[in-house]
Amino acid sequence: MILGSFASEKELMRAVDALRSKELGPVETYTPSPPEGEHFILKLVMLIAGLLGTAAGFGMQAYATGISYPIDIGGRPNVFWPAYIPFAVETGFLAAMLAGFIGFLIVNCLPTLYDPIDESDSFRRASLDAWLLAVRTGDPDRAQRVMDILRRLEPVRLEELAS
Amino acid sequence: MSATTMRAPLIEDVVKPGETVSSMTEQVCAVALGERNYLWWWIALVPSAALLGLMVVSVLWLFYQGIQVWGNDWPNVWGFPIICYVWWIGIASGGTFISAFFFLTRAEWRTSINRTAETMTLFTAVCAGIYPILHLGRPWFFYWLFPYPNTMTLWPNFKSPLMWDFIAIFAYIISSVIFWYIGLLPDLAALRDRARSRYAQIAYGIAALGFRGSGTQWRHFRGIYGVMAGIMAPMVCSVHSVVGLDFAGGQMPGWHATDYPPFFVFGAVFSGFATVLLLIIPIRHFWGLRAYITQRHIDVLCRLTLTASCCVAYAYLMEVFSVYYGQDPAELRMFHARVFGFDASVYWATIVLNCLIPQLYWFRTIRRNIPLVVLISVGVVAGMWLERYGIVIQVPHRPHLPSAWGYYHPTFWDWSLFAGTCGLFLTGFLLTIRFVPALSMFEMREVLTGRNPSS
Amino acid sequence: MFTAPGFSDALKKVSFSVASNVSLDETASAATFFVPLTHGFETWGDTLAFEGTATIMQPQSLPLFGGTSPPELLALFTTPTTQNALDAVQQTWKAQLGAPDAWRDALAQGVVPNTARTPAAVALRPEAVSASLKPLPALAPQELRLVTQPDPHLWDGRFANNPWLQELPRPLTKVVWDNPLMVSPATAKRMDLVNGAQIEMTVGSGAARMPVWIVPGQADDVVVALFGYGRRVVGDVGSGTGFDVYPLRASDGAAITLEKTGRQLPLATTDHHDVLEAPADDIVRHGTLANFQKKPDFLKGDEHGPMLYRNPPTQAVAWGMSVDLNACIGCNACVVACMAENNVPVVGKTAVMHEREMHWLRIDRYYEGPAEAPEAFFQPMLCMHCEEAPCEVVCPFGATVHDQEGLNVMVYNRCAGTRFCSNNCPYKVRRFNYGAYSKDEHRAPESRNPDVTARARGVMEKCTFCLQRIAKTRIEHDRDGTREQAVTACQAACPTQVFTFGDLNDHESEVVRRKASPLDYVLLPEQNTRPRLTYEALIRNPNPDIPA
Repeated sequence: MILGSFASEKELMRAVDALRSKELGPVETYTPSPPEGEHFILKLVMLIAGLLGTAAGFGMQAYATGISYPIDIGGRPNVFWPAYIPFAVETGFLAAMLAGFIGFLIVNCLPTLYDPIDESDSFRRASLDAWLLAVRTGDPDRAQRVMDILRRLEPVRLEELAS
Repeated sequence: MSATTMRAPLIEDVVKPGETVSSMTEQVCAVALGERNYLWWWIALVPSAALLGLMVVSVLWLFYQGIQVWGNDWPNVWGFPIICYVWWIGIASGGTFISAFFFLTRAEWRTSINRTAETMTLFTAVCAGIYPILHLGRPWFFYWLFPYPNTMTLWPNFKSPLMWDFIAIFAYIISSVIFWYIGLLPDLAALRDRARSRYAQIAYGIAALGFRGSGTQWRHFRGIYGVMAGIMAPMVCSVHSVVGLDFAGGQMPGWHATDYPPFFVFGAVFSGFATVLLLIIPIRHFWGLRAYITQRHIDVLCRLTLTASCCVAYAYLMEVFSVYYGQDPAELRMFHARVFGFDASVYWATIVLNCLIPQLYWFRTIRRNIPLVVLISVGVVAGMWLERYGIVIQVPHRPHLPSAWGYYHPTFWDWSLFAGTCGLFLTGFLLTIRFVPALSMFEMREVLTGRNPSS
Repeated sequence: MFTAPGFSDALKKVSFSVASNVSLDETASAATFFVPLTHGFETWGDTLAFEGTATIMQPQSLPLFGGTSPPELLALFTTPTTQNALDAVQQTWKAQLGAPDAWRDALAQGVVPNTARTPAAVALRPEAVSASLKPLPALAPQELRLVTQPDPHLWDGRFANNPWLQELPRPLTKVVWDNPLMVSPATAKRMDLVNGAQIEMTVGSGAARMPVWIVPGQADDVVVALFGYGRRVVGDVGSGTGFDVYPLRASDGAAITLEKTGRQLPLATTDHHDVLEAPADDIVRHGTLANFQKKPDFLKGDEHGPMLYRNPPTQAVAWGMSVDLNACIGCNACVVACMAENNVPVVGKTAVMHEREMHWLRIDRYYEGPAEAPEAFFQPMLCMHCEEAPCEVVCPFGATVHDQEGLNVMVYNRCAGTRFCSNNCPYKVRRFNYGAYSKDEHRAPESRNPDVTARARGVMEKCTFCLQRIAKTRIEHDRDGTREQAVTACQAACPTQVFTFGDLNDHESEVVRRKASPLDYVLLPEQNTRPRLTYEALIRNPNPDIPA
């Protein structure tokens, strides 16, 4: 694994562009603040979970009062749907939030308390004020090519780690 | 005016000029990692912990003796516990409002106060959440509200506003924790990386769940954070509307009003803004964060408090209008007792503290005067408590049938439990704010590098 | 010794005394010997009606706590050998009832035949009556006249240890556990008194200190003191409650003066509101006979407001009740009958001061008119068993639901005590167990109704239309098809037949007939509760010759 540390986001992006479409191995950036762009998948998951949650919340109430244990409460109709809306809406919100959180953990494979990149000292600055680029490749040829490309871009630090 | 005098800037800076990403990170991390003077923190923590102890004693005594230790009677079957519950959850709502709603409106001043606001929400929501359990006659059966499978195939009654309240508070607390925690992950990662002691590294490492700031993680983070804010903003409105429906869903004259849900939301954000002000002022002073929580933030929060005060004043006016327009005799009687009766001071204090005094915020000099801001905010917080007193105690005191008229006399245990929950909030808040960055570092970085974190 | 203040001194002059009573009292504690008696229900005896008809009293149970019966006790003084009560009674009536069958017949019929005395014809001498009336001496300007009366519930003090009667609200003042001095509104205004203010009453050469209670309609120059309180030896409940007025009885009718001491004493009452501020109009609907004759249903009004849905209960039997306000005299007998039938706990003076009394049924008292001479109205208030009950909707646990015979049922086991149902009841008929009241009552288990659960702390309760009685009739109907009818405890106890309870689907029942009355009205109809309990409005026919 090759790890290059850069002084700013601009320099990091130049390095990413330089490595793009060179097929030298998975490239990952480590930055203290979010880069441009966002993934759509979790948004979709949250939306679907929210809608399903609302439907499930409403469905549970309708099932409970219509089929499972209908009972006369206040002379209201058994499936008193206006009263079921707040519960369904809150369940939808909760389902969306939970789906987002759990989905986030799943797509990022969190918690991952150990990653080979933690062996690097310069990685410590990735969450503070350094912009890092990591190329995970085991092939020494590719590793050498990556290092060549990166060295030309004057990183603050360049190191090689075991993957 | 000579050329050498400077005019005060119309829009003050969100961050004091001269601060960089590194200096900000250093300052904030230093606080969390134990590299500062914590004397004031201990001075605040010890009495808070004592109040927390008082809360434990009050709760144990309550479980032993029953609700009779409070002033609850008939027809005031709800008393201080419900006042305090609504008051706490109102304050919690204000915190979420700042954090979620103003994320959606791309307000750049939000970044340095949203952590405080979210932490405040967390602990005030917990304080609020324990009250509905404690005020039950048989609190050990509260779990029956969960629709869990049981041998008698019983379900809770979903038609009841209290059931909506249960799920709303439940969803709100869990969602607030998730929202707070997700927003905290990058900062916990920063603390993990910056920590010198092995214990701190391990603790923060586990807490950060291995968040490393990789591009994938960040992009997923951006993916969900906006949606979460987009869920929390309507959720906070819905939660406090449901709290309003706890009352409006009943037939009591004075409670049975459709304006209660929005009225409660106005009141909630009002008390929330004032409490956030009360929290950020000492934090910026004692944690040395004046550069990041500037006069601008105080100014914005004062103006937000003013806006909310106007909304609340509108709601009070509507209350008066609907009583006189509706001409319901029971409601008129109740309202006259509230406004001119023996306890009318509560109503008028509410008007003064909530509607009149915050109008001082129209004036810039007042907004810049920090001691006055603190006083006005304390007044707002107290005024909102008195408003809930009016709703929970003054209104039921005059129901339809005169034979049921009666009054509430708070006891020592009412006050002690309230003081105890203040202790619970302060203890939790202080402990958290000591170990967790007081402001959202990764968002501040974006502000410092000139990019709006909400875009 | 309690009722005759000079007796204790007189008793000291006697060397031997025996007191006998059902329980220990002041006289018994001063006598040389005390013989505990059996209760009247536990022994054989006999008694005479006012015109001489004799009846034999049979025991209803064996003595619960032992004791000697009065015939046995008297026999000890009159015969050389002991004799049990049955033998004593049989011996007394042997002459009258010779044959063995005659004894059994007398027991079955309840009277001993041919024991009535012949009435003697007498003529009333009106002049003797007016001659015996002595005019009372006139009052000086600041003086008031003292009148002593027995307490309406404790009577002369004999029932002081009965917690039900101690906690039963007095008919007009609604005071419990105490006997304040009753003063008129004019006196109160003149002396600047509020309820509970302590006054010192100078009567003759003595003085007494009591709290006052303002009673609208009381004559201006009269103060009323109720005796029967302030007992010293009568059991846990009665000892030390209230003020002993017996020493003042000798001054009944005397002129007294009052003086404020400045202290305020706590008094418990179940009706707190500003007594004259609350209007009765729409709640206790009342009118004059003239208006009734012009338009009989002039008080009926609406039964409900606009409604979105309607789900009436579907069973064949539909329980309902009609409460006749014309008959209610405010005696509170129904309240105590309900307490007895439904194991309603007594909570004590402090809890009543905290408005935590547990009476399922209460008699509301409304005043209308000037404070000096108001009209008083009584209205029994119990669970209306609304078909669209607001209480049922708001219970999150589902602890109160509706059965298909029309009853609003309270499921004690499911109640976790949120108390929203009480807030949402427009009639405020629900009571909450703030403490473990049933458990804390020191009561023999036999004294409770075994058909009714005793409620735990933290549970809501209310009138159930005597569901246990309904259940009994339902069982009998299932068993052999008897028509379902039940009599609630309040209905059974009421001396003036205020309550009529029954099956609304049974067209021959009394309750259907009463509800068909044009005076029948629903209380608080705009709440859309559709209650099964309706009231019959009060019609008065004031005598035009009597000034209003």
